[in-house]
Amino acid sequence: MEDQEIVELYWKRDESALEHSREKYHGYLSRIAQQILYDREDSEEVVNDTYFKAWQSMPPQRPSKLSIYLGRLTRHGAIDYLRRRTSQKRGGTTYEMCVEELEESVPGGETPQQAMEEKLLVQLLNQFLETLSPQARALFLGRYYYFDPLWEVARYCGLGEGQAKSQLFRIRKRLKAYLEQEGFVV
Amino acid sequence: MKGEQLLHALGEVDEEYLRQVDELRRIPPKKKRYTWIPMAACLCLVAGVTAWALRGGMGMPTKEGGQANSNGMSGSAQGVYVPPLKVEHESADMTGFFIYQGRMYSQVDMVQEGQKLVGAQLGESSGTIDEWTSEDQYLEGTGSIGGAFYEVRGYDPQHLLCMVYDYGVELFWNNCDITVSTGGDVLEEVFRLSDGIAQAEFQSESDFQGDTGCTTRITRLEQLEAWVNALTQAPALSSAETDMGQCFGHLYLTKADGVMVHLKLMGEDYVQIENLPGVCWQVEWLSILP
Repeated sequence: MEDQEIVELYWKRDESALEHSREKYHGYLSRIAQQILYDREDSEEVVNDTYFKAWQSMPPQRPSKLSIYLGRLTRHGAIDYLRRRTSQKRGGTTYEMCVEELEESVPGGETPQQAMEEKLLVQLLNQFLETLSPQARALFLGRYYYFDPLWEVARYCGLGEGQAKSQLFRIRKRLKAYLEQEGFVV
Repeated sequence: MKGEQLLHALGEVDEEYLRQVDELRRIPPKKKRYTWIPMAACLCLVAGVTAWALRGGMGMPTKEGGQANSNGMSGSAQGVYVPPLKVEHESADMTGFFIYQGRMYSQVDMVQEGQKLVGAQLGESSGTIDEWTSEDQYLEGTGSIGGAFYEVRGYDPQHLLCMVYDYGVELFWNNCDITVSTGGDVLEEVFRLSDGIAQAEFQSESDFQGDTGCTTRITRLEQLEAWVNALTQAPALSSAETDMGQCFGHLYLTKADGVMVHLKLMGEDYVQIENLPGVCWQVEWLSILP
């Protein structure tokens, strides 16, 4: 079933929308959750919660690409879940490694701390992503949006793992410079 | 703002960017490789000759009167010439390379615990080349990767150099503007495989494409080394002029120092070396597989 047809079912409050969503995207969403949580049960819980959130948000939302929409819900849900779980358990998950890696892109300085709205940060990130080549963008988002392991990101970007690592390093440096240029410091 | 804030904010980036990545994640790797990522030997200098003009003359005459390549690799004039890399402006920043003594060294592999490989520092790359760099800026000492580069202990700096990172040692190979006559021009002159193969693994093409990570160790190393010896003697052929059929598998030959040579086993007994797709050799390979 096409995405638009499934979205229409949500709008009609037809519960088969959930079954169709699960049938089409359960594996995809499970993978997103698992790469953050590294726990099958927790991931299952987050993905199930995604369908609930989708039901609650459509309408009024009418996403053009259902996979991206559901993927975002899952990603947010998994990150929130992990934050709640973090105080109890720490480990070298991909998510935690990504947090650590991206710390390098956080500008530091002696200027006073500025409060910023996430909306502005999102805008800047979009502008920064626009400056990247498609390959660099895929590398960056594959790693830091989808939390794909480095070897997998390297694979679908057509790079060796070493090349992917060093290119990610350069992108993070550029992001830091970009954010500094825009006046964002810790 | 912490890394976590950045990660969270990334959750709201433009849907079109996510769609592009999502499509890429679903397409089989082989198709992805040819979609928009240029292979090492297909990178194109947009304006043609740039930094190569630095070197002036193209080579030195050999004893036979033929012409050696710029690396001084000896070989018959009938070897396969691998032309200078061409760097697409759109991907300049993504191709890891730097220019040293008129040679372009491209990033090819990473050795995780490779500190012992690092020799004397030979120079520093500016790292200033990116998508917007004009061709007249492709000069000695420039590159898309910045930082100090070093000799690789035990290897000829005309062929291999390295850069050091906290995650490992990146190897850079001058794999263009060279003439390759036999397998030995690469396996021996560049990678010194006669030092010995410590570990050899085979991976089928389906496992490679499916990215299963499954490999099979080759235990008959003596037989393998004899095969490698045959490969070093084999004359180089132009891949473009050879019908190799499909790739059947991959051979990973790792030396004791961590340097790894990746061979591709093609149809009709052809063999290629990863990062040198313009050249192939024909040596029966089925008998060495586990």
